[in-house]
Amino acid sequence: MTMKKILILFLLVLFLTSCNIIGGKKDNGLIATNFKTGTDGLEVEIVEGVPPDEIYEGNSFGIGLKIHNKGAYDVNNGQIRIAGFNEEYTTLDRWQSELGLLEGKSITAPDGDYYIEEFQGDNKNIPEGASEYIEKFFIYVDYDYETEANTDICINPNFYDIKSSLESCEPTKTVSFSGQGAPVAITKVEQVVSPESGNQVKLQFKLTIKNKGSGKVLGPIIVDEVKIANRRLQCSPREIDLEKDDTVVCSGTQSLQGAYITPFSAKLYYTYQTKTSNKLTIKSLKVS
Amino acid sequence: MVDPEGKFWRGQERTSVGQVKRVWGAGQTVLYFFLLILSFLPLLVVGWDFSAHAVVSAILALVFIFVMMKNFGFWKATLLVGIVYVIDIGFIALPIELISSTEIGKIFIAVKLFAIWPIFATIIYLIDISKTENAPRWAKAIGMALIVVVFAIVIPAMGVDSYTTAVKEHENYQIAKQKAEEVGESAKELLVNKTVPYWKRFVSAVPFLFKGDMEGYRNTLNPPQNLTQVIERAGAIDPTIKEYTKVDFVQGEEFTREIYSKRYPVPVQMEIESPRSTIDMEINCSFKAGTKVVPGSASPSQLTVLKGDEEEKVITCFPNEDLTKGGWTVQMEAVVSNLETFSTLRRLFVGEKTTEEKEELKKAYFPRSEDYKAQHPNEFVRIGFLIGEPPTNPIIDDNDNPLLTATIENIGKGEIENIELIKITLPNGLLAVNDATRCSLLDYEDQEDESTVFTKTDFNVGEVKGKKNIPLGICALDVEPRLKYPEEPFIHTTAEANIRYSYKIKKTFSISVNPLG
Repeated sequence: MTMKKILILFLLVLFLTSCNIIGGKKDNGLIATNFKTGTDGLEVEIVEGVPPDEIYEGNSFGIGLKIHNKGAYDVNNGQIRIAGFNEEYTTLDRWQSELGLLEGKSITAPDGDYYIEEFQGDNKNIPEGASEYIEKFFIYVDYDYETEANTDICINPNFYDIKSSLESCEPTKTVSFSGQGAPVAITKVEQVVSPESGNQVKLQFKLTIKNKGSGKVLGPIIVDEVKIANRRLQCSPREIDLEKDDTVVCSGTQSLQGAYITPFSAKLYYTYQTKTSNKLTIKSLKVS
Repeated sequence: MVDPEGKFWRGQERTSVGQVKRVWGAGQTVLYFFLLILSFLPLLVVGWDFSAHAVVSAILALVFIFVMMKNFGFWKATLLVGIVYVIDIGFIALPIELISSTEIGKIFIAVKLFAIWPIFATIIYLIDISKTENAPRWAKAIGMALIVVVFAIVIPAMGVDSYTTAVKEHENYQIAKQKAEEVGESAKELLVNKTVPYWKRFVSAVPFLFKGDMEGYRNTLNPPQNLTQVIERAGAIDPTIKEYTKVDFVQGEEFTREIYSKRYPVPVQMEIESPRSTIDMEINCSFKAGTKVVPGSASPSQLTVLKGDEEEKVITCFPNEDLTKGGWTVQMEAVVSNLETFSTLRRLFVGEKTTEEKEELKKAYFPRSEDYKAQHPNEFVRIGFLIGEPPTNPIIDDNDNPLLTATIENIGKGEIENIELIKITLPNGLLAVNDATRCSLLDYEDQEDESTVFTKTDFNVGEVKGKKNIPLGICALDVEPRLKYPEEPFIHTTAEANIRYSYKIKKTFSISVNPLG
């Protein structure tokens, strides 16, 4: 009887643990995981051994690229380009390729989606009499990407009556972020409240945007859908060039009322470029 | 060093009749010696940079006045020094571009090498000594030594060494000036090095001076300032090219330093490697002792080495007359024809790129200081060439109007006998500007497999034989859209130049003739 009780108890524990009823915090954590963190985007890795470190002249070789979306957003549009092979000595079957759909990190793909692209190369020859020739090449991946920042902020429109208005929350003047799962990040949101006519106040949010990735932003960053709750704010400028400026001011009006917590969100759209380089040594068959 | 009277610096003593007697001191000699060293500064340290020369000479003139003032009086010293200064800046520091390419111009170039300040220092030292009663013997002896050193050794050495160089540099300047006028503003930038201020070049050059490396010093102080000099340095030996043409006379095992007959064949080994072409050789030899020359007969006197072969041949040199007892040199000579060599020049066509992007690509593809030059095997002759704007810039963007500059250089120890063919193949997408007045190679332009090819065969032997450098000219190039606005991020491509030529190799070996009986 005792054995039976122990066995039943054991099976019950096994059942409960397998269903995450006991000790299920990890899975709960997974469900609640916020993938929109970090500063990764699309990453390109050269598949080991493709191409090999060296080949002999006149031979073919492959270039295997692992394109991995390590960011939190899907890539729908992009291209891979290879440049730098000396066209007198080495040719590729194609020098560019369109990127397919690559989903970002999500519950179904917690590490992000990836695929392998392969290019074929042919070496014709190397300089006459040379024992070897080193071909350096660059791989450029340009892709459209986005960044979305979501946070709860405390707003206090009633700046005339600070004491009573701060009962629900204390307004944070500046909120800082490390990253939103993309190489371009909104790193800071500063809040300024100023009086407007009548019963209105003006809310202004100064967004600081940084390129935290190792690549570069091609063209302007479009600032879109900056909202508090469901209310859209007007941003100026709507497009920024990080080479020149990294701040955008978004503003809206609000009636006088006490402090309250509200969701704040902002979206950025841009084209990003990552670049990686490698080399291939081509050995002579005749000269050592 | 103290003189017998115990005075280090010169001074004056009152005589019994109330006259002033000048007394020579060792310090005075030291002072003049210091002045003599200083007086070489304008020529050796500053060179012909007019403004710098004028400033350094002015400082030197003040020092001279200060030293001479006591014995010559201020006004006389100033007058004498002023005359020397005017001659110095009026003739010696005369800007080279103002000198014409005539015989009179060559006289002006010779005057530019005149070491006027050292001569002046020596003369005033001698005058000063002669004016001093009872000047010590050693001071007079130093005076005599100075005359010998300055007049007999230093000045001729400077003159002989520099005159030929100076005339050649002047010729180069005139050629470069003419070329620059032909091709426009971009080439003119090469004529004047505006990028590094004089004082910076001087600071960089001083360490060479301390090492005693005068050539390094001069090159650093006056870096390539004219187009011809740039062209002359348009090639670099590619260390990865391990196969190269080799023709050399060496002392083989058969060679004997001592021969015991008046007419004995001297065996010399010839090492030949010919990876690029089948080469033909005509071999001659002679014997020489002092001014006496005895012609010899080489056997074999003709050789052909097939492409790809490596050979070691013993060549004997038989004297056509009896050799007398004593030391002789055997002079071996081979004229090698159908030699072929090549050079390759890599360039990046980058389209529209930022300065940072271009710098990054330059670092990635041209990391070594000589990577921008045409790369070639280590052979007797190179065809150096550059493409770009300026030609030394290997990164060509969508705003550039590149130039092609080319020159043939003798980099071996022998002599160019003849040039039979040169061929420069441009990458697909580069064309010569269709204006014959702007490109001396344009007469030889052709198209091969979508590439522009310059081929020249009608060289005049008289114009190339024995020349160290043979400039081939400058061409303005057009860039087609494929390279100007590449679809790819950038295009890495290569131009190639080939040359077929004849070359004379000489080598001497010492022997001792001891006829028996």
